[in-house]
This record gives sequence, C-alpha cells and structure tokens, in this order.
Amino acid sequence: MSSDSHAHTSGTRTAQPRRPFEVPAMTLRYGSGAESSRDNREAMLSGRVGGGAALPSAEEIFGKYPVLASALSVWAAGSVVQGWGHGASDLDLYVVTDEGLTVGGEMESFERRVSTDDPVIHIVLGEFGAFRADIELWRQSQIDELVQRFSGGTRDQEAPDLDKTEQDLFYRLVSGRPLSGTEWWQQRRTAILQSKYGTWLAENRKLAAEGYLEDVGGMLQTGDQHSAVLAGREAFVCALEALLVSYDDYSINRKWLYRRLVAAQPTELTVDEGWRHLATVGAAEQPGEWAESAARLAQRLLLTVEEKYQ
Amino acid sequence: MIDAMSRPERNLGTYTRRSGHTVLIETYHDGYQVNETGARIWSMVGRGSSIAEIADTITAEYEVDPEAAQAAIIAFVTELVDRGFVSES
Repeated sequence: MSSDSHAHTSGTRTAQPRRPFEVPAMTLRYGSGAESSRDNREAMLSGRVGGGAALPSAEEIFGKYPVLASALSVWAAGSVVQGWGHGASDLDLYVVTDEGLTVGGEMESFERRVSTDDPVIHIVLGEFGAFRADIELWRQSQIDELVQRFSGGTRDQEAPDLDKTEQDLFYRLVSGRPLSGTEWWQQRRTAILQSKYGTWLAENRKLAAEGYLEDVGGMLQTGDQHSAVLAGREAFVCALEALLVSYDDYSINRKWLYRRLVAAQPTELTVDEGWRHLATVGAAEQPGEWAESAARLAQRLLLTVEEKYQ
Repeated sequence: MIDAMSRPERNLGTYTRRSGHTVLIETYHDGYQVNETGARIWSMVGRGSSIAEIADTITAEYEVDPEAAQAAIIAFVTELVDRGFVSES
C-alpha cells in the first residue's frame, strides 16, 4: 500500500496545509439543556417509561399554547397511548380547529404538504413533562375531505392515494385517546370505521403482497433463492398488514408489527408463527424452502382477507 | 473517565444533522451546535479510534501540538459523555 493510500484510508489529510486550531466546543441551540447531566436524563427517562408516564391534559396543552384553545378536538396517539412507549418515544398529539391557526412566535414548527384542497398542515415541536411532543395541527375541513373520499360509492382502489401523513392521521384518530372534544373525535372515528377506508387499505396491502408473491415465484424458478427470501418476507409482511386491517388496525408502521399482531390476536395466524416469519427463522439455512413457505402462508392470509372484504 | 486510551462510542438515539457548514448533534430533548473542530472530532467518535488516535489526526490537520490537542479532545469528549452523546467503551 502506498503512503498516499494509507493516509487516505486512515482519514488524515496530510496533503492539505494545517488549519488554525480552535478549541472544540458545543453550544445549546434548542431544548432546555435539561439532559446535560446523567441524573436529569435518568429522571426524565423514568417520566417516560413505566408507571411514571402520564399524558398531558388538554388544559396543560392550552396553557402552554393558548392559540390552540379554540380546538374542536385534541387527542393523543401512538406508542405511548398504546402502552408500547419506550425511553425514546415521542408523544403524538393531534389538534383540530375550524379555522387555520397562525403558528409562530415561540412555537417551533414546520409545515408539511398534504393532498387536501387546503394543502398545508403545521407540526409544532413541543415538550410536555418528560416527553418530546409532535403536535399536528389539522383543520376540520381537511379531515372531513379525506374521510369523504372513502364514503358513499367509493370502491376499493378508485380513491386517490393517501400519503403517509394522512394514513397516520386515520390510524391515530381511530386508535387515539381524546383529551378534549370527545364528541367530535368519536364522530370522526365512527365515520372512518364505517367508511371504505379499511377496504381500500386492505386491498392496497393485498395487491402489494400479490406483487411480491409473483416475484417469489419467478425468483424460485430461476434459482435466486436469496432474493426469493427477501421478496417472501415482503409478501408476508404485506399480507399480515392486510389481515390486521380486518381487525381495525390501520397502522402502517412496521416496527410495531409484532406488538400489533399480539394486540390483534387474529384467529388466522398464531403469534409464534407470525414472529417466526417476521424474523425469517430458518431462511439462512434453507432459503428456497423458507421463501416457498412464507409465500404460501402469505397467500393463505390473503385468501381470508379476500373473503372478509367480498 | 475519559483518557488517552478511551475508545468512546456514540450512544443510540443521537442524531447528527448537517446544514451547510453547521453541524448539530441532538439527544432526545436537546440540540447543540458544534464548532468546526468539534464537528471534526465528532466525525471520528464511534469508529473504534482511541482518544490518542483522534489526537494524532487532529494534530496532523490543525496547527496544534499533540499535548494540547489531546487535552482539548479529552475535555470535549468528557462533555459529550456528560450530555449523553457518547459512552466510554
């Protein structure tokens, strides 16, 4: 190895002139600096996990952000509400108002585009107790427009796609816990559950699974067993998602699939069998057999989904 | 306690955000901007290098003698430990 290549791989920059040295330093840019000691970090962690975790009340939220006090409804959602929270979990809060809010001042926020006629929502980054919180601000008309797409004669895949933010909204509204405006929340929750959204989502996941199943078949025919394993796992995951939709689980968050499977307890699949396929147990030793088995299981799950949504 | 032989590791849950020449490092609640030298040291933390090896690189790149570089790096990495960004391996 030449001296030049050695210098390159070790990360030194000997060819360049030495630069003036400045003592390394760090400056707090946001946050309170509360995590600057181990004791504080541990105290805040205990406030997020175990018995110490508590959701903020609506009064607490409105007290911190008075501009939100006109909300029609506020609900909490996500892993903390599901009881799956961990030390790094965010608190996901949703606030619905009639009119658009002016977000600014001391509220740290960013915008996100959505597909409704009013195409922007704001997400405020806040803190409540030991939790970091993402507060999504939606207008009532935006949510009603999204729900309307799946009402009446909307059929299967004819509705325009919802993006991830919008699918998360539906899941988190259905699975959330209202903090204020319970009647508003309950009405929309019922509307979503009675809409064709579940049918659309199940069909969407089923079609994705069928695409992967086609790949598995082709890959096994050509002897590409390793790719078949990866495609087989994708097919199984999509089929499981379709199955969970039929149990009113509208989540699109795959990191929680095991938890979601345990929570739903579907009659079509044991938790053990589901976990073994999620974890691709046996795939390294017998890739072709595993891919075939995963594909057949996915196919079986899809048949039950088809039956439910006929 | 961080010394020349320590090989610090980045803690899970730390973020590094770059925007132009600005480097921010973040824990769950707090975000810090690090200066240019701090960013260079941070880029080497967690790759298996010891403090002494990081100091060798810094000494080669910056106008600083080895002892001063090592002392400054130990102080900086100690602060990273205190604030929850890294652990001693």
